[in-house]
Amino acid sequence: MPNINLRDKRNRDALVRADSVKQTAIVRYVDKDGAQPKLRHVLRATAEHGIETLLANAGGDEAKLAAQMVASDPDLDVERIGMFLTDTSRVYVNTSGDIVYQIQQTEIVRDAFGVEKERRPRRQLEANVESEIPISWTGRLIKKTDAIRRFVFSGKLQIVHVNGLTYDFLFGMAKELADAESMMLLGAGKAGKDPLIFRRGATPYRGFLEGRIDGERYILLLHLSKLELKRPADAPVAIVADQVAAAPAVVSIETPVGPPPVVAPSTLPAVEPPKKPTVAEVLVATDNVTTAETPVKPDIVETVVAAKAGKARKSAAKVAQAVATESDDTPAPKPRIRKPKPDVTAKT
Amino acid sequence: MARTLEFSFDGLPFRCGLRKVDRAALYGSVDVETRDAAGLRCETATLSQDRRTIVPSGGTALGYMNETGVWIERADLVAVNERGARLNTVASSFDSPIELDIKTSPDRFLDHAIKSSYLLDAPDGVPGALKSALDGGAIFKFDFSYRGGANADPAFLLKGADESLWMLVGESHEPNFVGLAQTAGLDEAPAETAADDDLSFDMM
Repeated sequence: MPNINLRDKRNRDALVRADSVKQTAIVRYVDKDGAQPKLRHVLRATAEHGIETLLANAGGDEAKLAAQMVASDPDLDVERIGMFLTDTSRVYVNTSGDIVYQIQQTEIVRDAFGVEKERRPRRQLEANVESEIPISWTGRLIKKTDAIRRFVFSGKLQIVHVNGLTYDFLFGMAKELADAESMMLLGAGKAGKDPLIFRRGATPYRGFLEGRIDGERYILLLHLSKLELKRPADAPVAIVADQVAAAPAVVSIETPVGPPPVVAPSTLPAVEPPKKPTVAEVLVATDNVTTAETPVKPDIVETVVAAKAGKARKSAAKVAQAVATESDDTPAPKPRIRKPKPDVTAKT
Repeated sequence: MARTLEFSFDGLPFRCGLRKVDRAALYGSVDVETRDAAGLRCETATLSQDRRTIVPSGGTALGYMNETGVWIERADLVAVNERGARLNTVASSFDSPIELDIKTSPDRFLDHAIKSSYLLDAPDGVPGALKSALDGGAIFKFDFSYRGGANADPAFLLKGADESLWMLVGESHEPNFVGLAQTAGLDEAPAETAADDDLSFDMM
């Protein structure tokens, strides 16, 4: 497992270890006698006996090739087909069937609709989690409950200490994050905003650090994400509540008399934008009759809280944008130099 | 949304179409084109141990052999666990309704790595009580198997921040609390590979 050079909000850094916590279910396959068979790679076909080669040898004449197959079985190689493959190598072959020793690779970048956007020389991103520049806190805290609904966490590593000093270091991080019930977005590179790359050429991930505490023990989990939890541009919308199932009697009594409620269409158009539900629909769907009261003018405290919440949403949106733009397929935007805000409590 | 899953919540069934969402669907994709020095297009192939047989893509197969070298059909094998006990096979989740009767906490959800994300579309709507629960942040857990087989994967139903409905299929992870005494060692440092071309004069 990789080591990781990690820096906290006080700009203290240390080399610690990132362990896999994957729990693998062991499933074996046995024969009727309970013996475990071996899985073997077997040769099925060779390039020189493929249809393209044979057709070329027959001058492109399919009838001639068919006659040859009946007469002499040129498509069969009884000496080699079926042999076990053991010590194989991956090679490049060109359209002439020759092994190639010097190659040039080009990346063809396509958008979500498959339209080509760009061609560029292939790039291999260097690993950056164990470099001289530590992985650092970006200062962007995201509530765990929000992060779950915004990002797909496809990998996890548990950060563990390697000595007494790093125990204190990591325990402090875990406690701070646990108290905030939030995750901290981590960043690599000088600006502390680059995604995490664990091996040269590997997929870049956004890293989110989560902490849990149990007495003097801790869990510091690094969640890795390369995908947002959002619908594609061409997908239909909506969790629509089933009107029949959702509407208890008391709600229907208090529902104002008027036109019948809008019933969701059986099939939604593929590219139509989401339909904003009416107040009546929301009330029926949520069974929440109390919200039907006339809203009162919010006091100054509510206004301030709402403003802060709006700011937090903007911050989360920036993180989402970072996940969207960072990948192995699109160049990362040039990061703006911005001093990190290390104070966790200030962001919450 | 070709296939549909049937869910059941509090005795109320509803159907959902599902669409797998990955990076290509959201952000696009990258293909790597390889050419030789003459500009001819190249493909990867396998070179066998005799160093003369080139095996094209799709030219290999996997087979089970017993100790005496006899081929065994896949259908004749049975799945067992680490103790050798036979495992019950599970049916495909498309074959019967999935009961949504287990809620899980955010921490338990975060103990899973997500392997596949499916956007759900319930054209006839979902039960109102379920929608209320999802709006309130509930995460439902169930077992899911696409094709059926030896085991099912943990899966979750939840609402995304953009009000969309998702089924996330994952695999379980088990982080453990660690204390001061449980000290791990660092992995050995990789060998120095610095080269002259690492020196950059751009900064000057």
